[in-house]
Amino acid sequence: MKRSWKIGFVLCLVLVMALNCLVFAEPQTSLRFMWWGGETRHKATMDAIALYMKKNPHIKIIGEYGGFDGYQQKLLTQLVGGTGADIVQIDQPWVDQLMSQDDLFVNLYTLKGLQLSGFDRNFLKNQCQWQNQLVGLPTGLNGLIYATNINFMARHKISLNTQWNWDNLVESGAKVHQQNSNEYLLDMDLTQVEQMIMMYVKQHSGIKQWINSNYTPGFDKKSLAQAFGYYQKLLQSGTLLPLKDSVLFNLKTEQNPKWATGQIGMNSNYDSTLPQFYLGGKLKLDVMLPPLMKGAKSTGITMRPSQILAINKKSAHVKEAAKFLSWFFNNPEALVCLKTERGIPATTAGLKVLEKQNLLDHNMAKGINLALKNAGVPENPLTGNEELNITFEEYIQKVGFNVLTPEAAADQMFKDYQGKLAELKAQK
Amino acid sequence: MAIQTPGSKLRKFSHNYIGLLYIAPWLIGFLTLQLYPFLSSFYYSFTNLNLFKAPHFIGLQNYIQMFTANEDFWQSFKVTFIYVLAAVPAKIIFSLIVAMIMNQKLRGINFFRTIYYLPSILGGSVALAILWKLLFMQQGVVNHYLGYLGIPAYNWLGDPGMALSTISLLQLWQFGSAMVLFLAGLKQIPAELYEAGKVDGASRLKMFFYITLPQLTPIILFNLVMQMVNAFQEFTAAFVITNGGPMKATYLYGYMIWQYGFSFMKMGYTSALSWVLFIIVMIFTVVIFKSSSLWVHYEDAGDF
Amino acid sequence: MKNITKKTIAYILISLLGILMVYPLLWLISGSFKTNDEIFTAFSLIPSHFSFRPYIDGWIGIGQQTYSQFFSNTLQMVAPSLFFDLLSSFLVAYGFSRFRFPLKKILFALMISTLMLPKTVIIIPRYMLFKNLGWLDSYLPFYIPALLATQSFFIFMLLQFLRGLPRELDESAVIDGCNSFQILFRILLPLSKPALFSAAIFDFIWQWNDFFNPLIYISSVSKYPLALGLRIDLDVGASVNWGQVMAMSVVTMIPPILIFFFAQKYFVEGIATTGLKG
Repeated sequence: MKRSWKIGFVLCLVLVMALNCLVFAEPQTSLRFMWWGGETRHKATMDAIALYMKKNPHIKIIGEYGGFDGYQQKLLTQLVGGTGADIVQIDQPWVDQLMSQDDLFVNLYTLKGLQLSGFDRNFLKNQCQWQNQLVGLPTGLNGLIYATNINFMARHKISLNTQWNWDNLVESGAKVHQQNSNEYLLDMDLTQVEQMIMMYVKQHSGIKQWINSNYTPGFDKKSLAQAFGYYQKLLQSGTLLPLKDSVLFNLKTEQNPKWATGQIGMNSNYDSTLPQFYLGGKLKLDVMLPPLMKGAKSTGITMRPSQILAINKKSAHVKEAAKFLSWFFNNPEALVCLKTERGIPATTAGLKVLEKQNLLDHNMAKGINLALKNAGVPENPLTGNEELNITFEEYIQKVGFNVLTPEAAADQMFKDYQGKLAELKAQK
Repeated sequence: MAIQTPGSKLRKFSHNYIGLLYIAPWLIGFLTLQLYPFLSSFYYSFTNLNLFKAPHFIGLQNYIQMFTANEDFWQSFKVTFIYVLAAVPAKIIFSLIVAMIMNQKLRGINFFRTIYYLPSILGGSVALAILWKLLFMQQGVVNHYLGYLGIPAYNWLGDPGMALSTISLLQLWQFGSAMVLFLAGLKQIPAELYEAGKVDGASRLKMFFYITLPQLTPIILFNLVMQMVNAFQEFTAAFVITNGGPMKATYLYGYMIWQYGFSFMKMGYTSALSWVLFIIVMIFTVVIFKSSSLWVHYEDAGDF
Repeated sequence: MKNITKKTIAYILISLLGILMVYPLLWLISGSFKTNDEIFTAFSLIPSHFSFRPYIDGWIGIGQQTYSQFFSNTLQMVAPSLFFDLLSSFLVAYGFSRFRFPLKKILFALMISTLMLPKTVIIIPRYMLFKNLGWLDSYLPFYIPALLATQSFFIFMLLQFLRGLPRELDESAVIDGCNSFQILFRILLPLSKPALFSAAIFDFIWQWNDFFNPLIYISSVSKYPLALGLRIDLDVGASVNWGQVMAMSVVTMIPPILIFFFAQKYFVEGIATTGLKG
């Protein structure tokens, strides 16, 4: 009796397993998709993925997501190991560093199944290309703006319609600081000071590119010294939050209590980072443009993709990955799911869908329009090189902490840039 | 006071090769899991490996470059040495004092021990980086209270002259594991020694210096070596709180290595940097071990 | 009388110092009830209002993997490695402390030296090794190295304690007819309780908090341990719900705190209960 019960049990088990095989016999393709983000981005992306899988039951998409901490290290390790996900989210400045070493990502121009028509061709060419290859697709448009605290400006009687130039910015800033020595018109972290200095140099000297494509500095020592001098003026006049108070909140300016308590008027940053500056709706914000000089050849205002989605060259399912990306960027349902979680969509269709459904933050939309209208000449991808940036930030700090004069800093930085660029060229 | 208990020299080490059997797990692990990464990083230190391209042998070029043409290297060297020399002795002395207090028979001492260990549990918590900034900024909590004592406000982390001291203090705060080891060591001291000391009429201070301290020397040695090894490689504090700044004031060696490896993607160079650190730490360790025969007391009378 | 004042002074002293130790935890707990804006601006430890929403929302996350999953993953990862670490390290420490064999000093030096090379340069070669062994995205990169005593810290630590135990104990056991294995488990193991429990506490807490190793070796979100789970929502350039992050940090810290609280009696009241008396 007991024995037959056992046999019956085993038979049942075998049957269940066999059935399992039959039901799931349809060949399934697994795609791994890796990204970084916050809670809302994870949720939106997983919702979109679920939607796609429902419509394409033979595809299984595995989201491998996490915070930004350690993401680059994980990505690099996986790429070196040949175990990277099929679709990976990368930051635009990494593109040059990665592609100059190895052909890591699929050239998307070669994929027939990929729908590129919605994207602005020029934007793709300028921002997502590496030596004629389309490395990835931009998840969103992003431009440099000033997130502006409305109450602060009202308190100091500064019109939100002011068009900043290099002079009136310091004038207003000095006035603000004189009225209240705890308050500052502007806060920038080191990456933003870099942007400002590049803008200043470009507007004043008329150069187009910070770094030339032949691996030499596009700027000259004299203009750089002037820009460093202007930075010093911003600090001395009390326009800019002192370096020792801002340096700790590098890349996290919204965490600075001075911003939360409304003691800072404007924060320089990229448009897609606007949501964090509201601090959960506590602050009322507007957007303003960075300083512009009349008659400048290039405004130097940087446009860039919020991130880039690329297809791993080692992927076994490039076609399926491309199909998914087409859907991800163009399908109205997908767009509604994803909202502005990766910035303002870079496709015309995407913008339309979100506008229609009223899913655009009006400041974000306004900011992107302002930046687009005044965008500078696109930068050479080399500018994103991490080593160059760290060097740049080092000299900014030396000027900011009064260790070097603007002239000495410009001199040394120019030399360092020449050296590092030559080294990069040799590596190529 | 007779605290030396020399083991019988005759019977020690009777079963020679069985020892190898006991250390076999490590030996296998070392040969299969550790040796290859070690040797490969040593080889890479003589190459121009970045991350993806095949490495080329370039001889001593990495080493020469770092000693002659890399300001970062020297800055990091300086910062790291100051950090190690300040943080390690401070941590050991502090944890020993606290361990002595925590070893008292007081009511609720279990609760206090846990409280004192909390920093070591919390240490790596993600949200704490925010706390340090809020505490130590110009208008932060620390300055607020120091103001009552008439001490002027400093920017503890944002000022290049202060940041390293503040980071070292934060490391000192995580003294829990050293304390635990001392507590465990204190419990291993035979009670007879103290009883003999009492009979001899020794004062508590005398007993501390003649019984407790000598008996604790193996643990002191361990704490000294491990704290030093870890301090030389310290990475988290610089990474999470200051990003090596301001103006490279907290540019610890461990952080520099990470930056050159994963931000600048110069793995060959990073390997060379790492092996220089390896040799420095090795020299320090050898000196400590060599000196240990003079001051460390073992129950096996140094028979190793 | 003198004794009482002495004790009072001791209490006051350790309480004052204790505030410095416990303050960050209190701040975390209070922060878990605050809004971002309140966290960055208010110094007070008392939040303006209490709500357990951050705890509930944080636990559920985005509804894919809850913290129940992260907790269970962490246990699955940590418990076996902890056991293996202690077992293998204890054996190896015993081998080094009680026997003489060829190349002993060199092997010991090699063992210690593995602690001295910065991990950063080993990450990629190790990753390749584990990849070739097919261990990626599993907990084997944690179990097997633990089984093979690659944690030199614990070997060295247990060695220091074993060398502090009198040799006479072994010798009398030999006379009683014990073999080396019996000496280890019958004589030395009970005596090593304080050391083993401190090693266990360290290992548990370090693995519990370890972020970089799981980050590299685990890619499926469904296998994430707590340390990865805690950082899952930490983006740059996007708003982070810090109250929620802090709430989960607090929850995550409860097991290590409890373990320490209950395990301490083994290392402070271990072998020598007649030890130091006040």
